[in-house]
Amino acid sequence: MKMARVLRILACLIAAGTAFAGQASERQSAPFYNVDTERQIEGTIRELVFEPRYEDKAPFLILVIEEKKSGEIYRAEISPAWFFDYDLHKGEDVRIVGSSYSKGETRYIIARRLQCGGETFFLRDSRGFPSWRGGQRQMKKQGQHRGRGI
Amino acid sequence: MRGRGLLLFFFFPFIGVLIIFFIFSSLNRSFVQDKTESLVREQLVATAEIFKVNLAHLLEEGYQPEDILGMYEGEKNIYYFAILDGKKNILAWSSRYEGYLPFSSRDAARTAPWILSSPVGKIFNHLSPFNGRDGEGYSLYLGYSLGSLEEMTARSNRDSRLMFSLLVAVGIVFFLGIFELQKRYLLKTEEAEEAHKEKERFREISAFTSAVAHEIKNPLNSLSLLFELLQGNASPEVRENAALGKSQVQKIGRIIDRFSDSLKPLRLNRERTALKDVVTAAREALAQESPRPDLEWRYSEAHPVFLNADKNLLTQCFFNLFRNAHEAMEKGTLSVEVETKRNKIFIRVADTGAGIQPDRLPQVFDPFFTTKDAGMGIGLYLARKIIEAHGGRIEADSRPGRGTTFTIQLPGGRHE
Repeated sequence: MKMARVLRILACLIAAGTAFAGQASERQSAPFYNVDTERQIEGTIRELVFEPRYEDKAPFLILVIEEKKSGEIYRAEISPAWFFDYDLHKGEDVRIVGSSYSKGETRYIIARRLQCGGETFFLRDSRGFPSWRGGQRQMKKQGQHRGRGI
Repeated sequence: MRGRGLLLFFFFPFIGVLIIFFIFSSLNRSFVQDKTESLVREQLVATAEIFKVNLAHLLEEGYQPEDILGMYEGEKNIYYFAILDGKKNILAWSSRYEGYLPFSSRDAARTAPWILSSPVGKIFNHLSPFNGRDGEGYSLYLGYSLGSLEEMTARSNRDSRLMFSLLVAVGIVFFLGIFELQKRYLLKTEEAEEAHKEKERFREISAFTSAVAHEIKNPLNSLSLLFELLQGNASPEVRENAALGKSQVQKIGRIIDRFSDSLKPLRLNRERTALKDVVTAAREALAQESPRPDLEWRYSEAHPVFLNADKNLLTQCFFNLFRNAHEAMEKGTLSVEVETKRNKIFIRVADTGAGIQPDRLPQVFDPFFTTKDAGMGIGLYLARKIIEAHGGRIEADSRPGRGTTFTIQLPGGRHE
């Protein structure tokens, strides 16, 4: 039975490896959560927008933040809109830990932890695994609050 | 076997078996898991090799890394994968989970596969270099779900727990059985010891009373002869008194004889006997001794029942029971019902007499227990002795004012 399972895994892999032609190619344009570029920024919310991310699976909440120290503008990717159930407003101060990257002139940050109004939201784990995809186990860990942490 | 012995011979070995099972099961599970993991690892490395050949071919064909990604998406066990250049910079990547690609600069130097824990289970990670046809260096980074392996491990753990629980349950049932058996065994032993003591005591009393009876009978015989001589030689008025004295002495002799007979052990002379004949003989003997025309007799059996028994003793037994019933009622019905079940004969002798008081019922078969002025209390005792000598048992049930039923259970019996 164990051997059969191993062979099944192998067969699936080979099938995937040999399936080339005729398939629609979908490019992964969004950057991934890179732990090497992780940093913390503190700033003020200038704008709240919803933008598609990751092959248009769901609109994401994006915060446009002005960093206090440097005055630079960051576009912070928070989570799918349905997952985040806390009201943020323009002018609020936030602190974000996440993986940063630049595209052209624009600076981006994929948020892992968001602190705002005395609350902390854990949006991804330390390696960038999204909290909204952890299933029941992850939800229980976070006390059933969507995106809301301790 | 007492509690300590039971603990030593059953409980401790069972606990030992449980411990051995637990250790063996844990070692076995660990071994199987390691082996399977290693096998999966080898297979996945081999699969990655096939991937790399395909990738090299596609890159040579002029496909861009981003274009190649789409061809590999959709495989449910692949959580993420990426194509890296020679300097381990990510050229293109794809992940089932938004933005999740747990590859860092620390992983760039890895040569062996590694396993990551994630909220969706363990993920097998593999980074392996390959060359394009143009000689340019690339690397393939693959994250493969070990969900099946985890599922298998969880199932194995569940099965082990189930087996362990079953073993414990069987053990509990087994020990309950052993304790119950032991309890019954101890009870039977105590009963047997009690019966043995009673038998010994009875044997001693029998020997003593037989000796006394023998010693009494000698002077009684002399006394009887003396009365006989006196009767022959004395004057008419004394002769009458001598005759009365002689009859009284003879009565004492008969009582002593009955008393001695009841104490003697029974020797059975078995023969094939029809139960109905035995009952009829007892009934006729009683009718001869004290005729009672107002008494109604009933006898019922579905089929003729035969048994291997001492006919005379069994007749004596039924005679005693009938006489007891006879004396208990002025007029009424005495019925005998016979039935057989599983090689056992059940005979119910019921009267419609005065019945026996509940507090006296347990003593009715005791020797010399009687509620009558004239009785010696030997009849029912003897009846029980005869039935027990045949390997059977007798019980009495009575409702005061309504009558008494004696139920005899004898082994064997056959319809013809």
